[in-house]
Amino acid sequence: MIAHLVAAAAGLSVMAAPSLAGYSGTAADIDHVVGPLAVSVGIIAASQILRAFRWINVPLGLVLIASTLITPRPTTGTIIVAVAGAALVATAFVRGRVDVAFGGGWASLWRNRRSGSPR
Amino acid sequence: MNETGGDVKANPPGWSKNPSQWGERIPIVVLSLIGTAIATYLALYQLDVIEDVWEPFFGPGSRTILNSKVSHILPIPDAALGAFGYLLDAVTGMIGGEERWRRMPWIVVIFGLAVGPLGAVSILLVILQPVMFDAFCTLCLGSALISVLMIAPAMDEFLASLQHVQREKQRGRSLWRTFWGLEPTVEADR
Repeated sequence: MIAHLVAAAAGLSVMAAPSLAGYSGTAADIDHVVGPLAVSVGIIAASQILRAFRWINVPLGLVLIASTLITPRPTTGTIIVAVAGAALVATAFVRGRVDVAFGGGWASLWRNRRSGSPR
Repeated sequence: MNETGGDVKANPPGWSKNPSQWGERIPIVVLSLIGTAIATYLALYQLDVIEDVWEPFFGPGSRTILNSKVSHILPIPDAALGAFGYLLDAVTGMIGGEERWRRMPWIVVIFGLAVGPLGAVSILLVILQPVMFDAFCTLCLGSALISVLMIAPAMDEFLASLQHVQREKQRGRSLWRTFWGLEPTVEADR
């Protein structure tokens, strides 16, 4: 849970980076799109029921890291976005504690459909 | 409301908690009522009922966003639609007792469907603020945060109802009647 709240905080820093470091244009647009998505994914993945959402932060983090190599930002902005991107990827691999049982979870809906037979 | 009083017998099969118990639902209802209040306030500004809007951080940001073309793309201002969405969340969050995951799957599904898209639209609007209008709106961000916070707590109950409907169908019950809570529940199903 904490790892995914860290991801949300990383997303927030990306969202704020253009204002903090003072840049606009394509780089700022990328940050303004990816930032809120990462915040939302982090908050949702912090729950046990939708923990799988954490994987969405892998592509989001990779987009940020790639964008630091392609689109120029002031140094502060590059650092914020690169660190946040790395944090998004890293935290996605943290499953964290899941101690609530959900009757087989979302997968049960597909698994039971295939087996088909009543218990 | 519930004769089992929230004890373990009310849990869905294979669950270690009951997602329909009040302790799980009241926080969502409170959040959606706060969302209703914020969105109503913003809608009143958009409808020119109140003169100005509270904006502590982003200067003219809220005015820019709330008067933007996107916010008036529909016949009613977007905050009014948001207020309706939050109110729907609050109402569908309150209806039914602690066994509504199996007694009233329909309300749980409506609740889930109301919370999910509201969150998605909120995220989209947050993205549009800086990208299209180079501005942020504090209360709009707060409202979006609330709608994202509600998603996961609503989804566990949603899953419990889907599992219930599927289980009953595989047992040969009518999916339609189970969805509307018309099939008698089997207490031995534990």
